[in-house]
Parts: sequence; C-alpha cells; structure tokens
Amino acid sequence: MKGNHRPFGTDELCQAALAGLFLALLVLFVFAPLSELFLKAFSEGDDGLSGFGRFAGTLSDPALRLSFWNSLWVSMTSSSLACGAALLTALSIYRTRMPGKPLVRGLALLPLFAPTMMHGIALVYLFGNKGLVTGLGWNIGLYGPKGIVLAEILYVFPQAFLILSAALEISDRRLYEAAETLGAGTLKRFWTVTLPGLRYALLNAFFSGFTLSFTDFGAPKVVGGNFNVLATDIYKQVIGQQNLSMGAVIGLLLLGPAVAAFLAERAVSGLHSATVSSNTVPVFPSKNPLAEFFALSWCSLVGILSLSVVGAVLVAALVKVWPYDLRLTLDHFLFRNVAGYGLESYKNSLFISVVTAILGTAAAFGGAYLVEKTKSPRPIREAARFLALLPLALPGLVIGLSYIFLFNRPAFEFPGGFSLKNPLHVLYGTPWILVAANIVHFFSVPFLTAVTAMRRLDPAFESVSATLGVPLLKTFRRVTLPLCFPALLEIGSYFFVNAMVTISAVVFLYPPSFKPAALAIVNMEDAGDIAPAAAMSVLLLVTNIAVRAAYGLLTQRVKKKSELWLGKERKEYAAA
Amino acid sequence: MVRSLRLIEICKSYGPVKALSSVSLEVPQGRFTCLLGPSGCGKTTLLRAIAGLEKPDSGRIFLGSREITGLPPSARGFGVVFQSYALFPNLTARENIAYGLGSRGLNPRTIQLRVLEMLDLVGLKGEADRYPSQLSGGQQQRVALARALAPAPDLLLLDEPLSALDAKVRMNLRRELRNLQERLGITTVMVTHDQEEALSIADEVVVMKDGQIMQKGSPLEIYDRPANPFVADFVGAINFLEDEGRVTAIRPEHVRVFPEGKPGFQAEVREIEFRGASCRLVLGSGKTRLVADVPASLLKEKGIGHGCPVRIDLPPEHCISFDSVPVGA
Repeated sequence: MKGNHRPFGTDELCQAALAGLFLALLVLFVFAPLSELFLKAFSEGDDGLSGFGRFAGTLSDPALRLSFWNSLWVSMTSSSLACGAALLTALSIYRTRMPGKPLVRGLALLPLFAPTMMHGIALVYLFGNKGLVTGLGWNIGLYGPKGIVLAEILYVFPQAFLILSAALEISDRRLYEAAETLGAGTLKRFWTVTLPGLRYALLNAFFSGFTLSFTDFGAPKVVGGNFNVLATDIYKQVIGQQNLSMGAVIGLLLLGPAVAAFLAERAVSGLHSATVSSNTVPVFPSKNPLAEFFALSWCSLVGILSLSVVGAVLVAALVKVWPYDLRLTLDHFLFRNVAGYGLESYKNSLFISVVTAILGTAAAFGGAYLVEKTKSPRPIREAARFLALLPLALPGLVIGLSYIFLFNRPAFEFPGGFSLKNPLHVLYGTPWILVAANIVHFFSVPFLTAVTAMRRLDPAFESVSATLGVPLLKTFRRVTLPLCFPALLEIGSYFFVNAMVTISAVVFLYPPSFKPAALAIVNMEDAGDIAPAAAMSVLLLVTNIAVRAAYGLLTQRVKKKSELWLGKERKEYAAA
Repeated sequence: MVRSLRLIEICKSYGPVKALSSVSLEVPQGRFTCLLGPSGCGKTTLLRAIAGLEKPDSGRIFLGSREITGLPPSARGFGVVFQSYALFPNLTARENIAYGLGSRGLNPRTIQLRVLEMLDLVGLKGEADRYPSQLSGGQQQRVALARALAPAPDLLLLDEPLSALDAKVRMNLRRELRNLQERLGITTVMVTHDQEEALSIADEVVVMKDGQIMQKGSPLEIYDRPANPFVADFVGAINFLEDEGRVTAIRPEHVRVFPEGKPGFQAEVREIEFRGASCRLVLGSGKTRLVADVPASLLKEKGIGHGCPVRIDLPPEHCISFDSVPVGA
C-alpha cells in the first residue's frame, strides 16, 4: 500500500504529454524502421518476385546458407574463446594477489576504444602476408576464418571481461569462509562456489559476445578474405549491388540469432537478479604464490597481446612503407592523396559523436525519468520501456538498413489514394540521420544506467515536491539531476566512445559529403591505403582514451564534492 | 470558523484488493488524530488520499465547507512528513526547509526569516548548514517536520514519522511532536501501527482494519471500552475468556491475584515475566489461560512464586462482554 504511487496534479497532463512524446519518438525511430524492414523483406522487389516466394528462395540459396553457417560457427568459436580468456583474466584480478592489477585491467579494456577495423589492421600487420610474425617464418594463414575468429576475440574479450568482472566483484566472502570451515579445498571451492556464482555471468557474456561477433562487419571486411559471413554479405548486397530487398532478407537473418540471444540473456538474468544482499562481504583473496605466478603469467600474455595489437597499428601508422622503408614519419596522419576524405572525416566523427552524446544523454536520461518517476498512464510507460530496451537486440547493420527503408521514403501511400508526407524524409542524406541511428543503436545501455540511478532515489521525492507545491521540473533540476550526475557523465561518455568507432549502423546512411572517420578507414583499407587507415584508427583510439580519461577525472571531482551528502545515503540505498 | 476535515465514503481498490471500503471520518480542527492499525489496514492509503497523492475511486473530501476531492496535492496546502523523511540529500537542512517556500512568490528575505523561525521551532539552529547525511535520525526527522510546516499548512499529515528511530529518541520526539502540535494548534493526522504511540500522543484514535474503521474515540475510550474484540486485542493486552458462547474480556492489569485462602477462582502460576515495576503472570486453571499484571512488590509480600496456587478475582466493572473472540486470538 506504500511505495511508488505517484502524485497527480496540475502538471499531470504535462507529464503525460511528455511521456507520450518520448513514446512517439521511440515509435518513430525504433519501431517504424523495423516494421519497414519487415515489409521490405516480404514485399515485391525490383526482381518481380513476390514477397514470401523470394524470402523462401533466398533462404534456400546455397551461398547465403553457407554464409549463415559460417557466421554461426565463427561467432560461437570466437565468443567461447573470448569468454574463456576473459574468465581467466578476471579471476586473476579478483581472486589472486597478483601485482599490477590496474594496468592489466586497463590493457584488457583498451580494445573497447578502437574501431573493429583496427583489430583487423593489427592482425594484418602481425600475421598478414607481409606481417611481422609471418616475416619471422610463422605463417598462420590469416585471411579467412582464422583471421575473423582472432579479430572477433579481440573485439569481444573486453566486453566479456566487463561482465565477468562485475559478477566477481559482488561475490560474497562468507560463502568462501563457510566452504573453508566445512573443509573444502581450493579446487572444490572453485567448483562449488566460484563457478556456480559465475554461471549466469558466463552465459550472459557468451550471448553478448555471440551477438557482437555475429553482426560485426569491420573485422571480416579486413581479414575475411574469401570467407563469406552474413555481415559482409549484407554490405555487398546493399552497397555493391544496390539490392535492397535482398539486404532486407539478410537483415532479418542477422536479427534472428541476435534476438534469440537477447531473449535467452533476458530470461537468464531475470532469474538471477536477487543474489546480492545488502551486507555482502567482499572477497579478499588469500596469499597463494602458485596462483599468483600463473595469474601473472596469463595476464602478462594478455597485456602483451593487447599492447602488440596497438603497437602493430602504431607501427603501421608511423612507418613510411611497410616493410620496405622502415623510417618513421607522421605523413600518414596528413591523409594526403587517400580515399575517404582524411582529416575532414575525423572532424565529422567528432561532430557526430558530440551531438550523439548530448542528444542521446538527454533522451536516455529524460526518457528514464519520464518512465520511472512521473505519473503518466501505465501503458505509455510500459510501451516506452519496451521500445527503449529493444535496441539491445538490434544489430547495427539492421538498424542502418531499416533506416534507409524508412527515411528514404518520401511519402506513405494508403489504400484509397490517400498519402501522407514522410516527416523523417528531411533527415535523409544529412548528418542528422547518423546521429539518430547512433542514438538508437546505443540507446538501451544508457537507458538502463539512468533507470538504475533513478531507482536508487527515494520514490517519495516526487510526493514531497507535489505536497510542497513545487513543480516537478524544479525537483528534477535541483535534486534528481545533481544526484544522478555521475550516471549522466557515464552515459555521455558511453555514447561518445561508441559513436566514434561504430561502422555497422552508419555504413548505409552517411551522406556522400559527410563521411565519418570509421568509414574512412574502411574506404582507405579498400583502396589499399593501409597506413593512413592505421593512422586514423590511432587517432580514434587516442581521442576515445582522452575522453574516457576526462570522464574519469570529472567523475572523481564530482564524487569528492558529493561525498558530503552521499556517504550515509549510499548505505541506506544498499540497505533498502 | 470551523475547518474540520471530513471524509465521506472514500473507496479505493488496487486491482482486486480493497484498500479502503467506504471510509467516512471527521477530523476535528486543532486536534491530534491517529490512524492506527496493523500493516495493510489502509491507514497509509487513507493518509495519502487526504494529501491528494492518491485518487480515491469514489467518495468526497471536504475541508470546512470547501470540497477538495479533485484538488492536486499542491492546491490543498497540507504539510506531509513521509516515513522515509525523503529529505533531499544534496541540499542542506536550510535548503530543504526553504524548498517549498521558493515557489510562493515570497522575497528571499522573508524566506530566510521563515527558515530561521522553523529551525528555531524544531531546535536545529546550529545545524542549518548540514547535509541530511550529517544529521542523526532524530534531527533528520525534525528537518522533515520543519520542511512540512514551513509553508504554514492548514493540516499536518504524518506517515509513521517515528518508526525509523531508536526507542529512546522515539519517546522524546513523540512528546516534542505533541508539544509542537499544541503550540501551533495545527490539525494533525498521524499514521502509526504502534498502539502505545497512538494512545500517548493522540486526542482521537481511529482504529482501522481491512480498509474499514473499527472504532473511533479518545485513547481512554478505545482502551477502556473497545467496541469489538479486534480493537480490544489490538490496543493493549487483553484476556478473552469463553464460557458457553459468551466471551468476557479483561485487561491483565485488572485481574486481581490473591494468595490461597481468599475467595475467587482457583489457578496456579505457570510463568512469571519480570518487567521492572510490574510482573506479568501467566496463570492457568485447567485449559483456561489468563494473563495478569501485578506490582512486582506484591509477589514478595504475599509470597507468590512459580507453581504457587492462587485465587483470582475478575472485578465486574472491568469486564467487557463480546459475542466472539477476535480471529487468531
């Protein structure tokens, strides 16, 4: 009978209207494009085939089926291997007294800040035909499935590491103590306490990794050789052959496993939400020289690999003509005579990322507030919540493709000669469509971050505001916003970093005169300008690290300032 | 002018659950009224309906002659203190108290004066610039009270304001709250599940159960003349004695205990619970079980101990008759 019944008042209507606006935006930018994609996949295309017939025909196309199976097993392999590696690394950090943990953590997360193309380029410089390692006499036959698996491992590893770290961070020391007093040895404790606690995180990491690599397009583009996967197929069909309806069918194929993984992950995490009790005692690993030795050896390997990837790209960017003229130069950073507009594209990316960060943060945070804290009709809030989480299951390529279908359409015709101008058509061919696609593509995680931050606030704040006759907007500005400021920074930097490196959604959407940097890398690589491509990758990586560092500093300052009023509160939240 | 609060047939359901079924109540002006009941009885829902935070499904609410049923909380001008206090953690005590004053078109000087007045009223002048996390639980509670009182509301609504505090602090604040209410003469409605708190603080106690009012009256009336077995059982301790379909109830302190040899029912002492000034005796006679509170000194004087046979007298003026015992008693 107590709890989150929200106030109704004069601005109830206003709140409902805002929530309705948020829902309308989600329908326009998430739901409508997807339905266009479905319509396109099943409708009659330029080839004169009727919808379902062509869809069935496409599904029985042997080349496409091969790509599908290729995508499937390559993603499963990369995700399993990456999860295994991430598990070892996370265990080393959270369950041993190994030295140098912050460094290992930093190096493990480094690949997050680079476009996936960079992993491919690094692999080419290390294991490619003229690569460093190949030159030493060890040719692994990079181009093809091996290269893709390697590149995807690099891509998936930090994500899996983040998920597993979060799970290890919250495990309870008392469980270990109980096991120890019952006489369980180290190995038995691992099997009976550590692994069961990690089961869900491992599944979650595997599913996320699978979806990421199943729908990634950057790495197979560089190191895939003649090995076809769905993600590159869709690119060839749409960009190469302008076969949009075929692209739509492949898009749906991409969507299938991604949605399945998403649903599986939701089901699993839904079952597993209540293991953290308020009085969890953190685990302090005991001294164990053998474990420390193995942990340090493994982490050194991870660190060296991570560094050599970045190192290889740095070398690629700084050396004149690999491997013939090894003099160092900064020429490649000037992007003269290369495909893809050079520095112009970097500026474009900066612009897109900043705008994405600002508008995306406003949308995710404002949306979460409307859904969580206002008194608007329940169906509106539930529908908005669903559509806000849906992008978690949408691969970037699918978003990009569905955006072409929707935004490219000048008008909607209805039966009976009635037609409606498409209000979104004006965005087509402008940088703003890239911003919209990015915000939608990366929307769910920031939205969840904002929701979590708001759920920690006392639900009675809004009631206090109502009974004191203070408009909700003032309470939002004076209380909610300051209390959620760290989450706000987190959301902004998440949008920025991802918008800087993404290719998948924007590859179909960028206007010819406004190319983002990550795409310039694709073009340069296509044209054989590998060194400038590497230089651009370095530029993006450095920018992202700088933004992340600034975020870290800012957060620290905010935390220091808010320590006064957060100290006790936090304990109360934890106890609630 | 009489400005009492009148609730007429208020109903409120959450899905199939009836939180309030046709509750009518008059809260007299200037008095301290307690809504008392076990959790889930609808007392908080009733308070929230008065505040305007919950919209009743049907029924009407009047303040004096003015109907306020459809008014939003802000237009009612009531002060509310929430169970969690809901102090804004990023604002100081001073800023919290000033929070509701800013949007009233007052000039900053007036606001500052009013805030000082409020701080003085709750005895927190020295704590004005502290954040809630730097204040003790009792101090936080006072800030919440000052914040609710600052806009000079017609009605003060308190939702279990003392439940989060230590026993000792709770007792002190209880008295302070009552003194403050008398001094300001403000009509006050407080929700509580603690019968002792309700009896000690209120002019009027409204006992609720399952969304309905079971009894309404002064603490003395509620305690001495409970209208039904539920109220008798919920407010204070009581014995129920069943005899041929008739139920007699008597409070433990009214049971008189004598040593063997005097007239009365025969029983034996089965348990003794020492409570400082008094002792609670569990007496038994066959299947009948009876609880009596006697002065601790009595046991010594009369030599009554564990297992002793005793005689019991139930003074008829303290016996209450009911048709049934309460469910679960």
